[in-house]
Amino acid sequence: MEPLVDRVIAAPEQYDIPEAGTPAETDRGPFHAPPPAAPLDSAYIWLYWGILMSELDLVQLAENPDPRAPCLLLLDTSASMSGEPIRALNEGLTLFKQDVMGDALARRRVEVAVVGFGNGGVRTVQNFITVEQWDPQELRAGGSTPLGQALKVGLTLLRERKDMYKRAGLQYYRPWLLLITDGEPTDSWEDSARAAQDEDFRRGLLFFVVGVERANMEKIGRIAPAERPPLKLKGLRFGELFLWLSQSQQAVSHSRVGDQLALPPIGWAEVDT
Amino acid sequence: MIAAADTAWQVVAASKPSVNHRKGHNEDAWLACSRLDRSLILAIADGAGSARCASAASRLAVARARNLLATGPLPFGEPWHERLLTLLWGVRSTLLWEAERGNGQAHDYATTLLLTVVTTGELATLQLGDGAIVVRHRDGLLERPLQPVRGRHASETVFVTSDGAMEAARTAVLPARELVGVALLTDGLEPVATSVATGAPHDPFFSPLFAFAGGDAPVRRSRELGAFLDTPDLNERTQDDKTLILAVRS
Repeated sequence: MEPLVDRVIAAPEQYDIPEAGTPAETDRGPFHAPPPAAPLDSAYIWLYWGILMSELDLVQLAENPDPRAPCLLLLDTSASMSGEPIRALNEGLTLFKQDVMGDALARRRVEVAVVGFGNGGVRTVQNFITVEQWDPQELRAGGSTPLGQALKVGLTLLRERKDMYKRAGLQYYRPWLLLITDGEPTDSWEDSARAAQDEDFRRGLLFFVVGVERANMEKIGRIAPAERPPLKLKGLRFGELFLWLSQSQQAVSHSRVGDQLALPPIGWAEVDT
Repeated sequence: MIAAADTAWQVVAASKPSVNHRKGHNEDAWLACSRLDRSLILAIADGAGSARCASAASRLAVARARNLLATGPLPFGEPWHERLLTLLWGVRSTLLWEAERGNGQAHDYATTLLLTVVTTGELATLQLGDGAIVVRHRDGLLERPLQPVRGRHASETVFVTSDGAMEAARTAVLPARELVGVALLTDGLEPVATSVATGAPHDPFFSPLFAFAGGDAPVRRSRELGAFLDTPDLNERTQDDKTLILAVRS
């Protein structure tokens, strides 16, 4: 058969299939040979600069809303958090906002909602809002720990938000649900915990559970999804926890929707070895 | 390296890495070449950000696709679908083999693949993963032969190395006689070139670019296009590597 040898019209560099046995382990493998430098036709560049720039200036970029990275914070504000813990938690939230604001893309894409449970039952302190527009409210501690009810409210908020994204044709990343608690739930939590775990299993959200100080880790372990056991916060390092959350959300919002992602290392938790 | 081509098409293309890419180099690869029967082959691949050998994977994918199309007669009509899927199978095998040889996982070589072949009468295209192919009709109408798969986060990007890649691949064949332009782009440009909600190509983006690509001196124009892909205006809207191939009938 007559060979139909192809001819390269344009290629950024020579792409050749390596011979068998050629090392290609690294990312900077044999495909990274730099192309030979093109002779500089600077005269042409200067000659055509004015005309060409105006030609490409005609190109208008499409205006598209950013994909959203929803992040729901379920925060324990019961009486046991009063004093130093609630102060550290409030500081952590402010730090989170500040850190995300430093990333021009993440602050448009990451959306935060805050649900507090304790003082005054379950309270939606802040419904979903982009970090750009978010003004963290100070949380006050007091009351019991209606964790089950709070999870239910949180899941409803998430579902509503996802419906809103779908109606608006917005792309979104897998939502995060971060539950921070320090005590014993005072209501029945089994059903809502199972609902959250199921949703996590269906890849509908990422469910993180963090225990603080005197938290009953055994019980919290049953709230968290089996493949993502609860983490115990070292002391009151809410600052580090929220910085980690901010770094993770920035990484998420820079990724491709649906791609896998390595999270930053967790330095704020006690890890059993 | 853009040679005067013995085809009816003129190609202007460029690729620029993302400004704040954590890895610092381009994981997109592209290729444009012609066969002796004057068919035009355009390919774009976008290595997954999470893949260890992303840039090697994308380069390997376009090179392998080119080699698999370089010889033998090209089909006409329906048989194109099978030919393109066979080609995808070949590219997939190469990537999986490469991953295995490096003692890695299949995901180390995860990449998307977007391929278009324009023969004298037909345009055949294959897409796996995100990115877009846009064709321009003689009357100026823009069209995407393959509609984007849009929706929720759960619709994960399927890569050439993913399980279910063969099922997720989409192909299309359409008559080429009325086509005057073809554009291939990676997902880094999708937010500025298409409407995310409807997937429709953004006319004020493509029309000036097609006009630009039709001018003389494609080498210089490719360099200009590269500068355009790196403008702050554009970098502000996208966080991924950006690659664009424009082919216009000369």
